[in-house]
Amino acid sequence: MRLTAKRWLWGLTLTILVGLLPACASIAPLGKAGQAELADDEKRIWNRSIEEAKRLNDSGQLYEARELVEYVNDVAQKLVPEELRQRNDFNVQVRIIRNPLLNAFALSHGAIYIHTGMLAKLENEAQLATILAHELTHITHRHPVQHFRTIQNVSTALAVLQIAALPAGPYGSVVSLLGAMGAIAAVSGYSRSMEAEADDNGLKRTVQAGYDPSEAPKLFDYIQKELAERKIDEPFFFGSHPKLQDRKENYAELIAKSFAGKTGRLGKGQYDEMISPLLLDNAEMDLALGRWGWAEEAIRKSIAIKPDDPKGHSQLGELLRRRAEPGDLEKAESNYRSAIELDISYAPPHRGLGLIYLKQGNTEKALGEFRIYLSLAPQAEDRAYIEQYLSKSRGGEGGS
Amino acid sequence: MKVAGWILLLTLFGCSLWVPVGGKYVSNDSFFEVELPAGWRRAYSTRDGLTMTRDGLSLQSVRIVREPFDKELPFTRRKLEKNMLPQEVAEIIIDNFRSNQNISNFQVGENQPATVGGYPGFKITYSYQTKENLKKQGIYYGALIDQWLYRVFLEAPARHYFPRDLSILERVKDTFKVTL
Repeated sequence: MRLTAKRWLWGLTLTILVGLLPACASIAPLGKAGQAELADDEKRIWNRSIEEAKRLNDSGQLYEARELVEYVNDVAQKLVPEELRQRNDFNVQVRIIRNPLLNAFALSHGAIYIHTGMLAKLENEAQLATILAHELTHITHRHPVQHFRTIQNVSTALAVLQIAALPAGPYGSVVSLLGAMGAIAAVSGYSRSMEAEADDNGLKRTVQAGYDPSEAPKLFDYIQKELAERKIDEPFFFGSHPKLQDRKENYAELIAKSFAGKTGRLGKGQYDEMISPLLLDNAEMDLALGRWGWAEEAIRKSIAIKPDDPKGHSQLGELLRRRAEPGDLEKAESNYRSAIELDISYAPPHRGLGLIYLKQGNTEKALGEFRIYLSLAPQAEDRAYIEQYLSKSRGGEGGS
Repeated sequence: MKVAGWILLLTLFGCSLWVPVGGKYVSNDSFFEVELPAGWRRAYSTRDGLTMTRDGLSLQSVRIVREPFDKELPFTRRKLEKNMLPQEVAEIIIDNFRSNQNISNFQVGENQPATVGGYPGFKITYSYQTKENLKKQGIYYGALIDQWLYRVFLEAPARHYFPRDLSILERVKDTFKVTL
């Protein structure tokens, strides 16, 4: 009986291996001589990707900051291999998704998506280039078609199961807009060898484009620290925790082997300049989620980049007021005051101060701030609440 | 024969899950009373408050729900506090919608003070797109009353159903009284 089971197991293993062999055959990267034409199944995959990208692009989920989108695309263009620039049917285009979770993914026809949450975490252009080059390699090395051929060879049912079992939860509406192509790229990911290839080739491209390779492992360190604090919503770009460690070590090995002592451009100044407005927008999403630490870090980063911009100070005040842990309200008040000092015509900090004073029972001060707020922002969305506080005070009821 | 029997059983059982409404409705579990419109049906189970519809839950649902104010919200980690102003409660409810990754294009139309069951509360009107790309609209009245968050709300597809049933929700809300 035991022997029969053993034979059966060997038989199954051999069958799977034989089934996998054709799929394991390496495919030449796009753009190499003699490999410029797409196979029929790859054409179908491209067409599906184009449809899925269109759905996502039309969904209203893109972050449409023209200058930033152009900048991110400029960085991506520096990473595109020369032979691919000659192709008429291939155009790398990066789009930003309004989503605070850390992710980036690519579709086979050249569309790369990066979340606002990921951009908010990065510290410089070299790190952005590392991510874009990794995603670009998935495209140029035709990982989507290789992946689909593999799963089709093993079993079509397996593919269906894999899609059905995707942990799409935190990526919810993004993944639901994408089909199988996007779901694999954005959530389930490619095989470990394909990810390693994307790391390897991506890093080479990053260096060729003149960026500092030592930024890649720094990025992993940074994300790993964040993951340890958070424990959930793991970013797919970095995969599961053990995979993250593997890939971090892989980057370190690559650098030691091929780029020891190599330096290059960091692009911190320009990155900071471009990313500053996004930091506050993304922090607002983190505030909605109640991810105080993530929001605070982004807001403080924004203040460090633009210390004279009242928006950052005011938003830090908002965070502290909403979090309302011991000592937060005093700090919130101080941040609102800093924002007002920087721009006396900026309305939001007056609203924040009014709400703090109202909760503290200091109605007179609260109403004073609310009056300034409404005079500066007569069309404020919460005008009805503010008018109610003011009218109650006129009726002698107080506001608290 | 067996299949037909099951279908009959399920149909009968299914029908009994929904009961017609009309006139005064008193909830002894959730401590409220309200006038309900004729022609609608409510879910038989009142464990989570009152759920009613006219054409089916996917086409419209009016719900009256009472939950402990400190119960975790499904999508945001932010928490309600007992002494919050209606404006602050509304802000967290909106944040909860905004944090729901299963919907897209969430937009707030109105966010303003309102009286709910005789207590100071708020009114939010909103819209969003479902995963199936259906645009839905909602109107949400809420108030923190004692230890509870009471909410009275309607959600329906933006086309036809929401505009048609909006007045029903307003009548329900106007007759809603908390009986704590």
